[in-house]
Amino acid sequence: MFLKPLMLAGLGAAVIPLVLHLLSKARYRSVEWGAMMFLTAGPMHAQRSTRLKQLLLLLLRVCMIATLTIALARPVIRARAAASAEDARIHAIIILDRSASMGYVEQSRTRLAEAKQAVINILSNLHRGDEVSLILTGDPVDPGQAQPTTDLQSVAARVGALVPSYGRANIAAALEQARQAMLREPGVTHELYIVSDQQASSWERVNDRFVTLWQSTQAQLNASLRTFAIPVGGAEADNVAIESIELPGPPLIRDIAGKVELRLRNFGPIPRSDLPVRIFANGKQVAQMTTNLAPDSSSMATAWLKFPASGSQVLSARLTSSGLRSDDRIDCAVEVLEPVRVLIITGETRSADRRSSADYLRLALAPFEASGEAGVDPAVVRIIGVDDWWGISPDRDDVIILSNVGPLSDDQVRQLEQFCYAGGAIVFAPGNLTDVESCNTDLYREGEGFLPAGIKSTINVTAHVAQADNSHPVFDFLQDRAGGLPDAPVTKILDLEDRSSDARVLASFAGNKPFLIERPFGRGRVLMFTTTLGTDWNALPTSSIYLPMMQSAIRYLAGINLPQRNLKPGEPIELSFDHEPAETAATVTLPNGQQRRARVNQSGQRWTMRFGETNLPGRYLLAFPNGKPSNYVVQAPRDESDPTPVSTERWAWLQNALNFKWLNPEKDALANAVTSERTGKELHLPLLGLVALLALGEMALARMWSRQS
Amino acid sequence: MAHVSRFLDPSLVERLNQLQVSARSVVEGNTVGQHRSPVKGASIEFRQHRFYAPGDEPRRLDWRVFARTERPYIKEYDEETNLRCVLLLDRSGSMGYRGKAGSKFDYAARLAVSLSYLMLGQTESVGLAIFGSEMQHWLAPHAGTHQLSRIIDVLDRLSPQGASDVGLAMRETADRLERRALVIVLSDLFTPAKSIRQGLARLRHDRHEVIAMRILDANEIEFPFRKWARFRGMEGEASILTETSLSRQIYQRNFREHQRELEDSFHTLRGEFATFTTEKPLIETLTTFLRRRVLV
Repeated sequence: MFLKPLMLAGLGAAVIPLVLHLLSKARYRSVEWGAMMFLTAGPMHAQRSTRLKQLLLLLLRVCMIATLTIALARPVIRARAAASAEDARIHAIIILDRSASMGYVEQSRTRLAEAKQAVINILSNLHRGDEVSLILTGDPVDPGQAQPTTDLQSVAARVGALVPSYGRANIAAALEQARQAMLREPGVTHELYIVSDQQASSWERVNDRFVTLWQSTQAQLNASLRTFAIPVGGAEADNVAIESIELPGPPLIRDIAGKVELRLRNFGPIPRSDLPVRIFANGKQVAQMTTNLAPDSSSMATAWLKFPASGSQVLSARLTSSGLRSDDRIDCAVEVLEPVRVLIITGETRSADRRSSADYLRLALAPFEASGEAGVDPAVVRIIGVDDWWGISPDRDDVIILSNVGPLSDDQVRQLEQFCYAGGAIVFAPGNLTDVESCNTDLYREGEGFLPAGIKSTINVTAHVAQADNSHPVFDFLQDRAGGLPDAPVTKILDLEDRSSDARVLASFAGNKPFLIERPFGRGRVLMFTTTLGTDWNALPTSSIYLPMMQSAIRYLAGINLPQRNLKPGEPIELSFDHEPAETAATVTLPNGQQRRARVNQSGQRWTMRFGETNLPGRYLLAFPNGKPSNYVVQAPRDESDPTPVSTERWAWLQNALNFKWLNPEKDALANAVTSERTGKELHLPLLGLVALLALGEMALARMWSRQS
Repeated sequence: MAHVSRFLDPSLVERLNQLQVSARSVVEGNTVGQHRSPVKGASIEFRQHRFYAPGDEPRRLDWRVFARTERPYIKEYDEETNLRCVLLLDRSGSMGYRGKAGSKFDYAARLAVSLSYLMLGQTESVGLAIFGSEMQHWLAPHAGTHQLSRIIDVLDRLSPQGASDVGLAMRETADRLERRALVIVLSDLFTPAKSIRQGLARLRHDRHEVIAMRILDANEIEFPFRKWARFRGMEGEASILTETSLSRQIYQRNFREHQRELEDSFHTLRGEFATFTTEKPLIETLTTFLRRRVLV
């Protein structure tokens, strides 16, 4: 077809060369000539070739004019999905990737900025009456967002206000939304635009199964679907990210150094050396380190930090790199505890000339206080005899250590169980006074009691602690320790009979006899040693692991009921109370500065508060009117940190599977390509080129044939 | 006398007076001239002494006179012959082609008169043969100023017309000439080269010296026409309508081929061949031609 068919009237001009030829022939010049013999002499084919040359030149001239006329009429090869009428309404479905990777900075602007401009260019090619559905990927799926609108300006305004999210792009999910939108309007011409960077992970879920469903939809929509892919950004695969920040050991104690581990990842092909990383506590830089990263590898950076104040705090790590910036920083909410309140209940008689297990424990848990030197101890220790029992409470003590006690009264057992049930922690260590039968009857009660395991008997052994779970906070200190577990001899242990179903062995002797077992009990936790914490049955108190093990144990136990302060997007902030709190509502400040109210609700015998509006990564501050604020951190996922682009083969597969055409995001190129798809492929430019060739050919031949030798 | 000035204007005469005609070979003649006779016999008589002129043969010096007068004199005999020359002038229709510089026939006629003037001035014998498709007028070679008038009268009454056959004219000239002569052909030579070669061969067989002075217009060499043109034959040929830009190549190829054949024929048969265009002033044509002959 022709876009300007009226121009075809100019085809009549193609006879002009013929007319001129005939006129020229008719208006010949008459010459009286004497040398006629040279005009008529020569072979006949030379004369015939002269006539043929005349005809060929005439033909070229006629073709030139005819081709020019046809080109000016703008012929078009109709595309398969071209609109059947010039003014067919178009439903443009724009899938815009605003995932974290779109924050990648290239040539001083983010990929999202380029994508937004491409969307504006798409909108500018639509006309009054056309509809637009905008689907954002990188955000949680919102089924309502694919509703079409004819208000193009509002869509443009909405697009203009977008910033990169922290989520992961899921092109398959977005395509499914688009598919549903198209099926709701089957009689309309649909144009689907996929504006995204080239990150491979975005397209992961576009698999064979998805493609089968998609192609059936395409067949259903027949010719009324045109699909375009507009890739923005380059194919850079270079990014360094902080993947995680963790405090692997036991909870932090005020003024006691705690280990902070950072995991960094280099996604790119370039090695990084001396990469600076800074650590901040509550916004103030507290440490700086450098690290080296080989191409496509991870590494761990460790720092030991002290916190001078207790309470809820935020730890941040930052590095400086190019490319994606959103993963160059990570936050972590930490709870710094006051020194653990430890109550040691012992059955031993203490004397000045002999150290009891309680003495060893005190030395390990409060070494500065026990030795009378200045320093910060991780624990505040009280020692009472089993007969000096006057009551225990989680309000007063955090951890109770039962060290070498004999049979307890029912009331004592009940108090201990209540203490543990309410969230306190108990450490049980045997001794010469331990009564196996009463332990089984009163403390274990076939798993009903707080003791993790029943006792068969005490046995003499020749053993040493051989294995320990160094991923457990109690034994995390072993990771930084050369030489492993010490060879401290153990001569007597409790031989355990059975264990409660929720008991877990944290360490064992050679021969697999348990050394340390843990179990939860109510809201509390119990650690059970199977040998003394004094020197009666072993030489552990004089070994190098005794102090760090005991300190780690009580710190671990003190932190078991700390609320989860580091959340994933969408994971709620939850608090629970044993008693009805004085204030039943708290204020939550979001990372963007907005504030919300969170209420406390009663649930059975407990009171809980649940705040679920945590999709936005960043720091949340929860504060009761008369209480100290608590920090919570929603950590941005690192799903988009890997910038690995889609491979060439994968692109080819996607293009074939989804039947899309590539579009250049630049305004004019995009407009031309879309117009060409809508109206068909124009031929006027190739035809004009042909006209130029014909003209050149005619001039060259005429010149050559008329050249004088 | 107006018709004389048509062929010989005063400026031309003045220039001609400075030129001299010499023949490469001696031909038989009746009047004592400047050329040595090949015919020797008892009837040779002393005629007179004349002062030695540069170019005279030293063996003709009269040493007795020299000894006596101490001046060089040569002896002239009755048997020294003059040059016999026949001007073979083409009056066919093609000679009537008129370019920017005038018609070829006028040019050739003026050339013939100029040559006649030169030779008759040196007491040579000059004749005139006018031809077209056949010999049309024969003026036998004679010396003297009256011969010039006769030549001019003949030329004045002529106009170019009809076909031409140069070869035939040359053969007929050979038939008419009893003795060796210098034959100067003044024509555009628009005749098949084979025919001309035959005529030349005939003349050379009779030991005549042949000079062909081909007279052309520049247009006939360059063929400068554009667009369409109808060429009407000036010798009765059928007209041809052609787009000249396309037929130029054929014309020029044929022309060059004919020219080459003529040059080869004259070279082979030891004739002299020169091409002149009407754009070249007549006196330059003569000067060029005569100087070549003097050097040779």
